Amino acid sequence: MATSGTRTTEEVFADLFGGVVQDPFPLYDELRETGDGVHYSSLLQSHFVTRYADVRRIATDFRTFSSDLFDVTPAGMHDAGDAEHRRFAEIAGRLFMFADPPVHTRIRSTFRAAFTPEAVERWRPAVLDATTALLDEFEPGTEVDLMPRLAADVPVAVIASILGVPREAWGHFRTWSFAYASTFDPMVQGARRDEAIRTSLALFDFLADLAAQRRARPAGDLISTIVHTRTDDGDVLGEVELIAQLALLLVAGNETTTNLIGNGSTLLLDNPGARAEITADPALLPDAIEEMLRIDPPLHLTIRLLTKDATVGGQRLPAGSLVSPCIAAANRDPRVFPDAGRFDLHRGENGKHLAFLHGIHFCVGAALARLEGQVVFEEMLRRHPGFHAGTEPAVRRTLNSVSRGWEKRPVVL
Amino acid sequence: MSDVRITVHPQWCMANGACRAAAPDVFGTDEAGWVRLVEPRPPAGRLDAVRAAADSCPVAAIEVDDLASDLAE
Repeated sequence: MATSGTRTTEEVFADLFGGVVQDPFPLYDELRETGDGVHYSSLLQSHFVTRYADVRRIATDFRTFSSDLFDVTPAGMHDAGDAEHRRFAEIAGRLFMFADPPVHTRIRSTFRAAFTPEAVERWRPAVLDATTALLDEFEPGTEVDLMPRLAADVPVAVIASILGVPREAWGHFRTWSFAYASTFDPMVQGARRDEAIRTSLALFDFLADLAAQRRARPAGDLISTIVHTRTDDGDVLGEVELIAQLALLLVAGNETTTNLIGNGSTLLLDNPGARAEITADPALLPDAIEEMLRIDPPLHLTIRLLTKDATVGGQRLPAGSLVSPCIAAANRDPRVFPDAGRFDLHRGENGKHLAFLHGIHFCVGAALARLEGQVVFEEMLRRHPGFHAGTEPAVRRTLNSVSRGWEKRPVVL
Repeated sequence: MSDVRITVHPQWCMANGACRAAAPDVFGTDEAGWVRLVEPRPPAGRLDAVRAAADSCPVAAIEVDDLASDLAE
């Protein structure tokens, strides 16, 4: 590959966001090790931040680096002249990931209790049910593509089950969830965006109906919990606010967990030594999942808006600037992780990675994601300990630069 | 006596438990399970553990301010 000495960082960005490059990691390495690791991208109209210390500081200092920026994110792109687009933006703009304290703290207070490590344990049977139902369809010796047949379905089945979506609606629910997630994809434009927004509105209506039913008659599921939990100021969430957060649980939990399963399966295939260790001792799985999250995180990029002038890397940036902390680049910063490109079960620094970010926006569903990863990989390795790469080639998704993963991951069981 | 000020933010806590694992004599929980500062003035020998607890909190709900450097500013 050409070094930074022979081409500009803009050329590296053109590769990174051009939708063609399969493996972004060498480009992240190049950007991280050039200058101070902070580079303006005219494509993103934002300063791309690659080093661990800078990414972590931006995530932690929410007063300087605001998340109240829905309108400038891909998710916020809408046509204000179109009534459906407007209604979509009114709801989707209320996601607490696009809020700062005190709004963020108030909304998060209604469902953080449901997502503590201790609380998510009660969903283990639901995760196991969803996983075994899918794995039961696989015959040993056959070739299957893990992406559509396992990685994409487990998280949708799990979230539908714990939210309390009636089973007969799961098919629709799955379609709507994927449509809504696609509104976060900057590549989904024009007629595709119209369609994604219309379908998302069907999801919002469905969630509103379900919430109304649970308000009238609690059913012991997550929606019942959320509609009855008081916020930290003693109120309950407003209707639009509530629908937005329920929808967020889908968009934030589905594609990311799909990527964890696809990326993790790939790492197991590529690292037979580590895999043999895990197969022999499943107690290593929690460490393995942290290392999967570090070396190939489901979400690569986030974005923040400067509320005041601030120094990032070695540069003084004015208030109003956008920064794009790159989690995937930070997670392989050799200043923090020696031999950062190596999948190593024994780093002894679990949780240090930034896959779930850091600070008040740390993924509220982290404990559930870890649980899903543990159950899926434990079952997969127990049932099909010899699974290996299929004859069809594995294909990376390249069009979405924010959430990178595999389009196809064929394996022989 | 320590020369640091420890602040906890229970409103951000997600009960990950890392602080209690690192310094169980300093950090505990309230009735709801969120972080509570049980020892605001830990002995100097515990400061490394307190800093490790703050560093390992995923939501950055623990702040450790060095009072000596505050005075210097």
